[in-house]
Amino acid sequence: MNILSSILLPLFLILLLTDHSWGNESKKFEFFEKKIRPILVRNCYECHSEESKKLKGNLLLDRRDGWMKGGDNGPVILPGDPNSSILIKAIRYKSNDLRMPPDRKLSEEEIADIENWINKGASDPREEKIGIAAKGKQFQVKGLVEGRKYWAFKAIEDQPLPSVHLKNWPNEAIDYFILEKLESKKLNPAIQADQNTLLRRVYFDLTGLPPSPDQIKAFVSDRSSGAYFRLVDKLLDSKRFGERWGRHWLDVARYADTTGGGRNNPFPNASRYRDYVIDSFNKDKPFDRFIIEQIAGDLIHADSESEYNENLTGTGFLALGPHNYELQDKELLRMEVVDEQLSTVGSAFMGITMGCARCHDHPFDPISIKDYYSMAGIFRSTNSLVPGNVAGFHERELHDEFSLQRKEHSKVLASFEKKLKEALSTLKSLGGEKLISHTRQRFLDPLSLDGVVVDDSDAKLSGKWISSTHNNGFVGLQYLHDDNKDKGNKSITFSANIPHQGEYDVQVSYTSGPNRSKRTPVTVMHADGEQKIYINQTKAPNILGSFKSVGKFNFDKRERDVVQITTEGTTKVVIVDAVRLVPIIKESIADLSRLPAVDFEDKTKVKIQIKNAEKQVAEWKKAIEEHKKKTPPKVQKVMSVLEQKEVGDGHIYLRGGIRNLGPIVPRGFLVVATPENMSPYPQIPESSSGRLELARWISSPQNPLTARVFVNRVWHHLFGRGIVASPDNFGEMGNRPTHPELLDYLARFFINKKWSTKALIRKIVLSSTYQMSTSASTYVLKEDPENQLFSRHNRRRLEAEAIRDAMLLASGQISFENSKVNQNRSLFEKIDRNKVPEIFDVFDYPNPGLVSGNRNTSIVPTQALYMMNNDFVMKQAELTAKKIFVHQNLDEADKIKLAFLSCLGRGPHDEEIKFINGYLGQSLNGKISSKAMEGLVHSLFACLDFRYLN
Amino acid sequence: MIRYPQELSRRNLLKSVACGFGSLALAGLEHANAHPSSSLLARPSYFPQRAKRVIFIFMAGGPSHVDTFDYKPELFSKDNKQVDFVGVRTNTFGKASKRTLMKPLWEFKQYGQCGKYVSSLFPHIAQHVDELAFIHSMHTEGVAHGPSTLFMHTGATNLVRPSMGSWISYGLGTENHNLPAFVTISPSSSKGGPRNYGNAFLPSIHQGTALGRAGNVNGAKIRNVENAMLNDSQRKNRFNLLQHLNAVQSIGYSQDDEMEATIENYELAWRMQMEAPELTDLSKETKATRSIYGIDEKHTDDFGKQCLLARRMVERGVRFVSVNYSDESANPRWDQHGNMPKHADHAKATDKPVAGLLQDLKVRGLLEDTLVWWGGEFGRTPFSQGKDGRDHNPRGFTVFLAGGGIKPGISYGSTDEIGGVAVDNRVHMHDLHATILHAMGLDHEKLTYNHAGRNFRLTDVYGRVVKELFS
Repeated sequence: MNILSSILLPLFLILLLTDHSWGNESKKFEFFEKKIRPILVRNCYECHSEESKKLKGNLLLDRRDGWMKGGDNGPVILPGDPNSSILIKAIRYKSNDLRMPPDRKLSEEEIADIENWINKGASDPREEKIGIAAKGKQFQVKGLVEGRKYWAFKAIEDQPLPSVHLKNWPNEAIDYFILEKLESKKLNPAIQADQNTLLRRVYFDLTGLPPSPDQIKAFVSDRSSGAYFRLVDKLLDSKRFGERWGRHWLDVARYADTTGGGRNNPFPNASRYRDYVIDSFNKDKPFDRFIIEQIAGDLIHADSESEYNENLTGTGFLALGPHNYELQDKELLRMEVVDEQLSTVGSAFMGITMGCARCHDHPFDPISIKDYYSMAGIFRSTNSLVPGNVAGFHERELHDEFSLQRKEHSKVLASFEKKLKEALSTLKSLGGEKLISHTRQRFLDPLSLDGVVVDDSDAKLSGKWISSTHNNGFVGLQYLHDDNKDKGNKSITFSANIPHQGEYDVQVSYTSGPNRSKRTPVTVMHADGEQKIYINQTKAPNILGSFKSVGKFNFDKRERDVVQITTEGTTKVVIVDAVRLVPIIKESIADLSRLPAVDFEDKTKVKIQIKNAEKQVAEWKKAIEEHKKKTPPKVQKVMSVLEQKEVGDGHIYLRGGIRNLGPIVPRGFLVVATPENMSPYPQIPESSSGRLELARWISSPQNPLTARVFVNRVWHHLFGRGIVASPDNFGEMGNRPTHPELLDYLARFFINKKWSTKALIRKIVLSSTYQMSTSASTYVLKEDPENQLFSRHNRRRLEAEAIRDAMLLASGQISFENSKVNQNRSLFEKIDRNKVPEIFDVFDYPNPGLVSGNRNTSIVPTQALYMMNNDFVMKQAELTAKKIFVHQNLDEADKIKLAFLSCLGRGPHDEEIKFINGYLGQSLNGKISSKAMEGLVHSLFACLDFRYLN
Repeated sequence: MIRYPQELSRRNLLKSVACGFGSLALAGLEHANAHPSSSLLARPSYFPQRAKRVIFIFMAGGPSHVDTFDYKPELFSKDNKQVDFVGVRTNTFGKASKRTLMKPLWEFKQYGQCGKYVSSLFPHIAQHVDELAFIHSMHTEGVAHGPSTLFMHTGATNLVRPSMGSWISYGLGTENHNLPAFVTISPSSSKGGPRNYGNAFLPSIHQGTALGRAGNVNGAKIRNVENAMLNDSQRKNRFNLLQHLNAVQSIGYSQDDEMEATIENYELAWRMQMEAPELTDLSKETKATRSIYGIDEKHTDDFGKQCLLARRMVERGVRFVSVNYSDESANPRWDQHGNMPKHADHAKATDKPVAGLLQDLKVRGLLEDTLVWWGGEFGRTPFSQGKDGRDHNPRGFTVFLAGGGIKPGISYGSTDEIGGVAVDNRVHMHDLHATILHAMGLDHEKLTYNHAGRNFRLTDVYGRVVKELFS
């Protein structure tokens, strides 16, 4: 082969692939230069070239290699095949997900030119390779080897106790780790907090409440050794402990009682999950078990019904998300739910932000888009949505001792109803219904009718409707009319419990008359959508003299709104009476027209038979009514999820677009957090989602994140700052641990103590570190201004609930006799995602739509205004003052002291007394008036020492 | 002796402005001319501000663009014709189906120097067309009211995200230290409710302050500034006692900025108590002013008061004011699925007040640096629904902007010949957000807040500043 041919051959091949004709290659480039390049430069380069400020979709269109290699979606041009080229799909503007250029569609000529160019082979003279400059603009996930070197993904190590000089300071292992760091900076730990301060601190930290004056007295006067130790155990055993620490977890679980968002539907059973969380902390449920119940409680074995219920209730965690159930693109909704669950699980248990990897590899952490979709596959295989125009969430039944009774009861009910049906059909076969219509009875009994009947008495009315019985032929006790007034502002919605999926004839009943509307809008809401039909109510209804069919529609088996009648656009009287859905059965027994005609002579005989049949009907109805009175208690339900009917691995959604399918990835776990000796892709049993496997992986002692994240959360709540200051994010963008050895020590301790939260908390609050004062020397403040070293305890703003509960406790509005639950405690307030109670809002209650392991503590004037003027604060001050005055034998100084003890957990300082005397002097001489005491308590509620915990 | 903190160091200030300020370095805090007692100090913008304040006039429910400002002669001639329209709702999503066009129900006429066509629904606003910039090529996300309303306010249909007013408050602070930076007048509690003016993960000081209820602004007050149970001297005595106690207690907490900030906030709250009642007191306005807003007229009284309140607020330095023409019903006001003629009622209630606001702002020289944004969460379809209704249309609709450096008397972008879909110079809601931030001197790509491990923006990863709108 000569040199020429060795050059020409590849060229020949290229040309062969792109064009069959020789000699017009310059012409092809000419076409590109003349037509295509200007289009690309004008419309695409801004975002898809090396010069782009930000390269979009990792796609370069300024060189041939750019489109050949393609962006996140793969190659965008397939030479010769415009119809399969992503670029063409995008510029044709047919898809909702991908439209380019984003602000304006190219002209038809421009589109045709590009199609033409691709069709002819897409010759492109731009031969620049993808250089470093362009590459630098592309995302690249951190490699696994490098990723595993990041501290949070390393295995948790056993940590030896560091040696320290100040040997008599440490109380607990914890203290060695803290002290060693302090000593290395030549700092001393702060002195121990005084008794009142420590008491108030440990009460709030373990129970969320301040100590009462009596509790203060008891503790301060107990001089025996181990008084603090015993107090800690007492508080850990108190039911208030679970309320306090359960609430901390509810922040993380983004707990709420409504969906939030545009429609904001209620979660009627969310509170069962809340109570489950409180109980779990009170019984010190091992945290690994707590994890499994919340992710896969429905999938684990239970030894008893109560255990089953507990497990199932835990799964409320997955169901509680703030979803937009009315999102119309239901595939997108499904993915939104999956994303929310995945992000929540990632952040709550492992402190990782999965959400970023939904559209592309995580920009900071070693989490690839593949990892994301491999975990998303597990949640896609989990069924979290009840389908519908406005979708819903699943509620599953708890087991109880009535299940047999319920079964028996409904069996009997069904048999009675069958008898009733038989009696009715006898009646019908005698022409009962037909006779009714012939004789124009005054009204129809809904129970005697076929199908699902909903009478106006069960409908939802909007606007003013007048009930009437003036005209005959209505269903039930009455019919309604709009009084021909306020047109367009009235509507009635009928909802029905549809027993079987299938087609139904939808009929509406009304009484006709000449003053009626000729065009009454009736909207049928069915399985396939909505349809509006107009009926003429001046014409007599043709079925049984009462009903008129508006058409046949499909319905799913469930309870839903089926028909809405409005007065919109009507000019005359609109009548609304009842709606019925008659199932379409192949051999209709309800076809009255096929009944034999009743001849005149037999009429008397038939009448007697009808009488008897009617009697039968009445008797069975009565029996049913009686039986219904004996209905066992309603079954209790909890929010939960199910396994999907079809489970399996799923696609990567390129750039997060749900219709933009990439390769299928196996279901599994985050690779970088999986120990090297373990496969990130578990054996998942057939027809299982993989949730249980995921839960076990997360709760495994081998998982480098889970135990660290939880002990850090606990530390955060006890010190106001975690060892890692970003408790929900252990990734690159989060903070680094200030005491990594201590964190590992605590994580190991926690795992060794069988994941006991109480053991962990006990260990921390008994440490010298926890018992330090919040004040420190000027030198320490200078050397450790941010308290990174825990050279002292942190002064902390109380949370909204603690502020409210402390006022309620002082005023006597909550008390805890017999250690019972008191529903007035703040954590039992209903949480509407769109509108939380005012005091919560003012004092930084976390957004109940997001995982929040670290509440804000803002300082804003609305807080000051709230404390100064809000009715609630005023009322509690009044009641507290009254409570103080109950002690009539107290002198004025003791009253002031009691006010201080009730509000601040300490007596007044001399300086404070001076000002108080001044204030009281302005109010009254000598005796403190009740108004003055109110004022004092009010000021105490608002002051620094109330709002802050030392 | 009373010890009041005399001055706060810069570090103190940062802490006093709630938390999470660290990531605001980009806002150029080093230049902040800090007001020592403010938690919302005014901050310089990234680049010169065209507008210093925003008034957003929200037309809830989705006013029909083809019946108001987007004149489509072909829609008149194609009345009753069948067209293919690609569905946006669940059952018709992405599928084309035949729909019947319905011509606009109102006549159009040309107005102003620019010759803008406006329908007879808005005779008063029409007088101002030479001040306005219409964007006819709007498109947005969501097809139901809730998601689209949230999207318009927060840039997300269902995720919990800060409202635009909160972002602007976060980016720029306030010009009046005795009032909130972001106020929403008569917001609805449905369709997202308070989330439409929520701060989400931004520091709570940036939350919108709600004033009045949907459909009734009478007697609206900022919460907790008044105290019916105490007379003035009692309030003063209690306040003095409180601040004395705080001063004593804070001696033990020297060098704790939070304590100082808490005390400062009581001072600020005290001043707000003084100023806020005056803010909402419309009785001081002249009869002439009240009348241009249509106050004391039956149909325009409520919305006129809302608009007048908005002017009083921007005048006093409130950064972002939302005026809501909304209610609490499932079908918000402009939502005429049936009975399009009802649009006339809503136009009547809002036309004069909005025109009055434009005029008043102009006369007072406020329009120059106040950006007015009028619009709904989406538009309506050119085809009919039922006999004489129109369905939601997120694919193409119209908003208008005025003042704040916006080019006056222009129309930007267009829908197709029947007003169905935005086709030319399309402006997504994200783009509008980016553009408004730009007018405020904020870069929508740089105004970020780090939350849960990533930087969030109002415009997510989207948004294009429509530079053609600026003069």
